[in-house]
Amino acid sequence: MKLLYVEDQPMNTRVLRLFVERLWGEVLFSVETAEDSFDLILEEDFDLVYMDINLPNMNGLEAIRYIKNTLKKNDLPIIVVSADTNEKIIADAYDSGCRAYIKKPVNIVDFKNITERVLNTDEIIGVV
Amino acid sequence: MKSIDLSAAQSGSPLFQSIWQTVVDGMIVIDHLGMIQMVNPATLKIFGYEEEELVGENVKILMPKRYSSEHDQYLSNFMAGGPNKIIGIGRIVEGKTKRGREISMYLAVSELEVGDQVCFVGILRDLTEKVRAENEIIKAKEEAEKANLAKSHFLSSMSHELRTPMNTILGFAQLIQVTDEKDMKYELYQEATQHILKSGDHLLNLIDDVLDLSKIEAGIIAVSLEDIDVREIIDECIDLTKFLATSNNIKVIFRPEDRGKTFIHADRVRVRQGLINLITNGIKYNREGGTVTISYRKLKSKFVRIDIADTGYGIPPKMQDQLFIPFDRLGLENSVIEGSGVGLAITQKIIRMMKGDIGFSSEPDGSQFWIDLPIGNTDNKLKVTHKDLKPSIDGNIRRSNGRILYVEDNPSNVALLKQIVNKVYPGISMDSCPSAELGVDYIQKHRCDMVFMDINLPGMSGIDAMKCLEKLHQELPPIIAITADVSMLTVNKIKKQKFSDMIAKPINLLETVEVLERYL
Repeated sequence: MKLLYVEDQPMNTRVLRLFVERLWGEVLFSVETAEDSFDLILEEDFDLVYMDINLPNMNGLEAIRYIKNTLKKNDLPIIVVSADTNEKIIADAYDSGCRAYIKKPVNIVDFKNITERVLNTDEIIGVV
Repeated sequence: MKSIDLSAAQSGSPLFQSIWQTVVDGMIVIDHLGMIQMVNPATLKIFGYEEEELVGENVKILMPKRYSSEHDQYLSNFMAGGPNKIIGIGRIVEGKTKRGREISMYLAVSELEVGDQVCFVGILRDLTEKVRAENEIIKAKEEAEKANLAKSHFLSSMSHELRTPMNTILGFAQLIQVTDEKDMKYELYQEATQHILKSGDHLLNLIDDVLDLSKIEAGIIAVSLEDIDVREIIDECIDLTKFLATSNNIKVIFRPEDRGKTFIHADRVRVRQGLINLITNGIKYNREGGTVTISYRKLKSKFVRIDIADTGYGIPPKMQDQLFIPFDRLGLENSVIEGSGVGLAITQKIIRMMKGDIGFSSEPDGSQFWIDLPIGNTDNKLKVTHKDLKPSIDGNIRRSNGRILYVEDNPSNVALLKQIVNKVYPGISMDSCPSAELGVDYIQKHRCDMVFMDINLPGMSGIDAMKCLEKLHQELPPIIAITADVSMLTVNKIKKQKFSDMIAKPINLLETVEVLERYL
């Protein structure tokens, strides 16, 4: 299982990396900007991408649209992980094509269930 | 030019005459060229003209220039069958009075034929007040909507900022929770503890800042203004930020003015808070090995400007207008530099509460922040001259012994009152206590002829001290309340107690002498 996390805050990356290691014994790859993620997504065959919204240049939602529309990675599941709880932003995130929206602080049980459902089904999972 | 013959109508009917003279709305008749033929008294009243000043003039005289220049053209187009903007319709237009004031009025124009001539009758009503009131309501509504938007932006930013450290705290706590004792490595345990503590601290600072900001916004925080030595308070702030500067490897340079002392009239605690914030920002958002340079100077406009310049990377021009918005950290939200993004918003508010202002300029090689605060009383601060007091000293025979107590935590106020007392009553001694608790104790133990009680004291307030004294004693010496806070709330509280009198800070020489004379 190959997972990528696009997140500029090292502490958030650290927490999620430990979650992934603890839950599935996997390594979580990470980049700090949306722009950095694009080459990596084309080169590597990721099973899933976790995407923060509030990123330095291009924001996470623009990044999802870019991955879907320009990189044509329509089958790559993307889960938004954000501290933003604004309903408009959440609606916009689903509109951009994310499969799930996980609010920070991340609950490890939700994180596990949502990730596994996204990987094993085609469902779009509503925000908790 | 042939004038329209309206005389028959004018003089013909007494009923018409009295309607024309008394009708509340303005009525005006113009011919096809725009020349005024008749005006009624209501029109004259609205525009401030005499009848003979208007009759025979072009109606343009009653319009602001931006309309009057087009009127002839419009009228001739209309006469030639062109578009109609007002005849038979009526709408709100702008008018111009004799004095040049613009007014809003409702104007309805009808077209009529008198003989073979076309003329126009306008009925107008002054709506200036109504339009102004409407505009004010619209403005208030827009402002309320803007405030509402700012509030919801504030709340959603706050939610975001609180959730970020919570993610670390709860993340590590959950990890510990789901890890079995046998798999639990000491390193993870240590790392978790460290991050939880650090994020917890950050969260606490954030909460303190948010509370501070809301208190200021709600007007709960009052400022207590006094004259403060600028050099002294800057030194103090540099001292308090020394640790941060050293650990960030930033040099803080202060260039004090050589000549004499400079005072600002401000709240000591709040100036310190604002200055520390700016110095801290200068240290945090700087280059490796950079400097923060502080200086101050008197401005011509009765203000003192304190400059805090850093050698950081500057603020990108497109982000400069977001600088004072709470939680907006201009893209540094997730950087390793810690901060809540509330500091400058708080600083701006407190500086403005002290009738000062804050601003900045920024280049890619550094930013320079300035705060302007009202200049303090420098010259007669601690020098009470004989001349100042002459009118009060001469004439009366004065008490030559006794004791005055001043309960006050600010040494410069104590020094000032002491000087006044020494000059006016050389035989009377003055003691001071820096807190209400000590003051109450002093009054128990010593006979005082008069007490000055500061209201805003650390710990027990002057009002509470008075309550306490009223319980303890049947008879009290004259006790004078001294307060910088003259809000209704505080003044009412003072009035409820048995204070003999009240004087407002800054201490006024003659007022103080009067009070001394009255009660000694």
